Amino acid sequence: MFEKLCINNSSYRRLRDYEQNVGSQIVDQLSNHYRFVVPTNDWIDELEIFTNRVYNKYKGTIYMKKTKNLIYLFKRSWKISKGLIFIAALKSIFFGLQPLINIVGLGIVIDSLITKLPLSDVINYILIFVGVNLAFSIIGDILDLIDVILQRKTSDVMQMEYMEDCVNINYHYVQDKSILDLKKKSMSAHPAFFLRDISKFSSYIIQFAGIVFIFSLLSVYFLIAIFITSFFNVVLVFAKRKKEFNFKNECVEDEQRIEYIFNVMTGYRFAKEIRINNAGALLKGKYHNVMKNILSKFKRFCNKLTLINTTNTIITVIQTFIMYAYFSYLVFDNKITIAEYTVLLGATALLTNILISFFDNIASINQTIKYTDLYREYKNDIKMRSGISLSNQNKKIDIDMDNYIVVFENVSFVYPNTKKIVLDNLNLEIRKGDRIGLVGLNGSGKTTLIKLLTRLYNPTKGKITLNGIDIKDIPLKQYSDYIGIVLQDFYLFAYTIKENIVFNKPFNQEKFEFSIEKSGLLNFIDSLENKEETYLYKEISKDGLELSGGNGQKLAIARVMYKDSDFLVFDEPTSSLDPIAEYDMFWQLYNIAKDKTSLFISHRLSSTKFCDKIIVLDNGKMIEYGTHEELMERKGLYHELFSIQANQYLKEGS
Amino acid sequence: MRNQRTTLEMIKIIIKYEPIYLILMIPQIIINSILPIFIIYFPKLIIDRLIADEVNYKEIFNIVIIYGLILLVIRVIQVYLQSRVSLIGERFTLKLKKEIGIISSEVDLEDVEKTSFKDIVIMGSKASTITQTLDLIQIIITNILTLLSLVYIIAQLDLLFFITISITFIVKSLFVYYVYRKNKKIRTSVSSNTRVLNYLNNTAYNHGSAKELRTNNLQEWFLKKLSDCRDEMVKIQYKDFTRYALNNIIMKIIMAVQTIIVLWLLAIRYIDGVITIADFTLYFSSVATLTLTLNNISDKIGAYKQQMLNLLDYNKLNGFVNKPIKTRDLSKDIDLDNFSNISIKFKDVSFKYPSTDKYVLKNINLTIDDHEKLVIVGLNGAGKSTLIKLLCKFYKPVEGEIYVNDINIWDIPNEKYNKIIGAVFQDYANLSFMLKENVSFNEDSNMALVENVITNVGLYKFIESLENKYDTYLYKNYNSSGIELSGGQSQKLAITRAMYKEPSLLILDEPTASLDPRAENEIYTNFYNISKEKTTIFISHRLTASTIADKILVLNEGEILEYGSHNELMIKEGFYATMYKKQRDAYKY
Repeated sequence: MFEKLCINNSSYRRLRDYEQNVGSQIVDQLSNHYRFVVPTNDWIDELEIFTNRVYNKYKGTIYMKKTKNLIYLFKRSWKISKGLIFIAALKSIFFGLQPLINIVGLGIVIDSLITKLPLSDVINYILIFVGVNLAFSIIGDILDLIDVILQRKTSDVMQMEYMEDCVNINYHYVQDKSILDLKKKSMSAHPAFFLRDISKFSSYIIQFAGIVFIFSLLSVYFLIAIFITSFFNVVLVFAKRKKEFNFKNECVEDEQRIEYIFNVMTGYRFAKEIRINNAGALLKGKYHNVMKNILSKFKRFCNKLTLINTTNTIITVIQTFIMYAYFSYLVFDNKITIAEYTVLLGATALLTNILISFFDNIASINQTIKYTDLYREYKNDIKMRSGISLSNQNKKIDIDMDNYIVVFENVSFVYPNTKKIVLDNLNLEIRKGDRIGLVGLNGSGKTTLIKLLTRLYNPTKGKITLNGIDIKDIPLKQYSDYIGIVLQDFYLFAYTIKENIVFNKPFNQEKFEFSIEKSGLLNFIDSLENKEETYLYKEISKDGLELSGGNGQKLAIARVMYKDSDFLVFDEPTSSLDPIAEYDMFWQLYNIAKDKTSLFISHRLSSTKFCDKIIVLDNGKMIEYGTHEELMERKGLYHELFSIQANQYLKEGS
Repeated sequence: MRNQRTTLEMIKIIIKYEPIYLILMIPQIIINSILPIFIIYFPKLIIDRLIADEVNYKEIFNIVIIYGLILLVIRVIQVYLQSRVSLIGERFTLKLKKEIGIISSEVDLEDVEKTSFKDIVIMGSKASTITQTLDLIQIIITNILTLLSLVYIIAQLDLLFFITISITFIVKSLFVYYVYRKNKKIRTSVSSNTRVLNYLNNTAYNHGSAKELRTNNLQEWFLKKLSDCRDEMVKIQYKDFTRYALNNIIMKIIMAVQTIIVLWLLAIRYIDGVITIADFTLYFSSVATLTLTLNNISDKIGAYKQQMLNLLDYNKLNGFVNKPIKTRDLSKDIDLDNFSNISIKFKDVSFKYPSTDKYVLKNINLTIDDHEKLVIVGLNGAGKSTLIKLLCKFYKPVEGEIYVNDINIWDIPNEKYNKIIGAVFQDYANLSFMLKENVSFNEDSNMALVENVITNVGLYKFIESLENKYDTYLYKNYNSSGIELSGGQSQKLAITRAMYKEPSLLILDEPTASLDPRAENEIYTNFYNISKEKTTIFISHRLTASTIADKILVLNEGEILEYGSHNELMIKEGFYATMYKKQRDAYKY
């Protein structure tokens, strides 16, 4: 299979190494993933990601990996907030010592009573005991406050990080399930949680040390008994956590499905469709099935958990029994005083509490370490899949925009993980000032061509150049400024009309008014009470407005006009407009684009008729290219499509 | 007060869907509150016997065994209860979400746009908030019961002791109350911030906005919006955190004073020989546990209030799930067989959208005969889509009535009415389920019919080329192997949905906007065949649809401007004629 794929790179060689260990499983997985016969640009990236994943899974022992992850977590915590680490350390000391002070302090007070010290001495001991306890407590609260504030901050930092990932990732992966999955799971490897766990861990160690010291005066057999029962506790808690981890993984997909169905039931977007088509039953059925799945998995999980917890309880009770029986015997045998007995009991109670929490704590840390793997996998995936936004970010390339040419050189394109060739060896040139129409049947590749031009995707083969420079090498920010596009499915944000046009660009009153007027939006805006400060939709402002299809389209056009790019692209810019508006708009666009380069996609061939050149795509190939007159004479596809439309008007004879 | 009301509303909801959850809270409370008492009382029994003049170790040993067994039983019951409650909680969360979803899919369309509805949807998607809140309350009640038991123990000593403890208790409660009153109500701003945050989060993962963000360099702008929103929320929350910490500290000081007083009093009583050292430990650990319990209570109440700050109006949720749907309780039943032929009449229909002033439709009087094909044209905003929405029963006319076969459409149950209408909207939406399900919108699909309508729109070859054919999933929300469709294919799929129902009335709102000339032509040719037996209403900007139509309705600013056949209107040389000529002439060459 590898031979067929004709790979010859280090990923392949590394993979061969592991094939022995991993077996034909990998080969099968690969062959399912990549069915191309000829390697393409993105495909090699995919292989890289995949082999990295496999490599990381099997490289090194488990403990090496855990240590590596632990170090990574600390590094990450340090990076995100040094303060959190510092606070965690302080907290561990204060919370660690406080219970010990309690136990010993009380013992001292009781001892002072039993040894019949005068009341004033007893009172002194009481005051010291309570005072120190209070001091520790208050310091603990203050540390907690700082911790919570810092944690909130870091949580924000992390959420913003996730958001940045989301807006920078290559367009194709915006809704990619495997990445969304990874992201959700990786959120559990949050440094703040981790540090809290570490802090607790340290305080437990301190308490444990104190207890061991107190117990050190006791029999070795007793200590052994305690440690053996504790060992069983550990094993059980680890088993519990593992089950929890697996369970959560199992349910992720189902939970996403429930979310989707719920969205469909409640979202405005689907509202009309599901009502007119009585979709209630279908949705209810789907939801019910997924719900049944989740609940049966949950039930199984709960049963397993109950078993583990019950066993744990039995062990803990045995422990308690041993302690009480032994201590009472020591008092009976006059080996210890009542005061010491109280201290031992206190230490026992503390030990029981610690044990329950301590191993839970370790299991939690262990889980965070495990999820760190997922976090790293997630970060790796993001890095590899955000090439378009993030590469060459800080470069600035000089491009002469007074005189430019865009060239598609042997461009082919296949959507990731699919087989169909959507663009097939396209060669075309667009010079500054050209007015180009792009026509073709649905699925011929028109929108895909635009997606490549605007760099939502990289070509699978071949390249697109601007003045000879591969556009992949131009920083996306710089390149996006050159092209102004009105998308077929343009998106309006729930902010003001003005903001939907200007966004965060410097505001220029003249340019703004020009954009509104030329796009035909002026009258509409004037008719509104808040004019251009009117909000759209209702998410941000309760008084937000829904725009009709036509006004929305005009707004999208105003947006592009304000951007003032030199290369304009219009993807079906007038499909929602009525005939008169369409006619007017088209001539507006035609005029706006007069000194610029423009590319129009439209099904209404009456619009593209006036372009300087028309490109006709069919099944991803450019089959015709020329002026309207030239193409009509050819009597090819263009002639056929134009005639179908024209004849519909001329049928009735007017 | 508001918190209690909200909690009451939550309880009502859980009683409605999963009352066992509440019922199980009772044994939980009992067991959990008994346990601490049990644990502090037990040492007293041992110590009493240890300081006796004659110590009987065997007796002590027996007591320890009994203690162990009782402890075991209690804890095992705890474990079992916890597990049951988790399961029921999960079941409840899913159930509630389902109910909200189902009702949402049936409420009037105008309600779906309201903010209050969106709030309900948020409540539905965060349904676990209810179980979390109830758990908090259960813990609070448990601790209160433990508290009362401890007070009872403490009261056994003497009056002074009891009064002292009570005073410190009261002081603390007063302080808690004072703090509670002082808390400002910042719920609204937090919940509106939450709404904005949800919106931004959803937008980031949306394909449509994703394109805009990238092609227009909006990433920075978008991220700033997000960080501004979070900064707002954080400011409010920091104040909360600080207040909370301060309150905790003051409470701890109060408790420390109490501890000193307690130990003092107990010491005096021991020295005076009123109590033994065993009693001393008992009373002291009671007070210590009491402090712990009170801390627990204040912690959980704090968490409860924190929870409540972010909560929306659960009263509305109750109203929502208990509200009868208007269109459900119609007593009349209509025989569908009468509807294979449909004629429509609009009588003096006027309409304006709720909470607006402007009339979108004014005095519409229109008759559409059986099997007639009507095209509605007009400028954007003229009211075309609105007229369709009224006919689909998404909104009710403010004035006038709409009749189908002389029956007021609002007298026909929605479920039946939807069977005789097939509609394709301008903003159609396909679902992320299987292709065949997208056609039939049903769990069971009549495959012969599905294939038939698929062929009629020209999707047959495409679907046959797919590996899973009609079982192929759409998009990736539901199944990772889902495919993407092009704009035209999507539209064709939406059209099959309308056709599958074999409706008597067909409504098409811009059905070919995304289609290329060949596909558009295909649709219109096939439509002619399919719509032959149906009353059909088109909205189209492409006036070529007029060639298929019997009559044309021209709307302008909500009123009927012109009405007639294509030829009649061309002769009139009015609005329609102007529009038509403009489009047609563009094709002349």
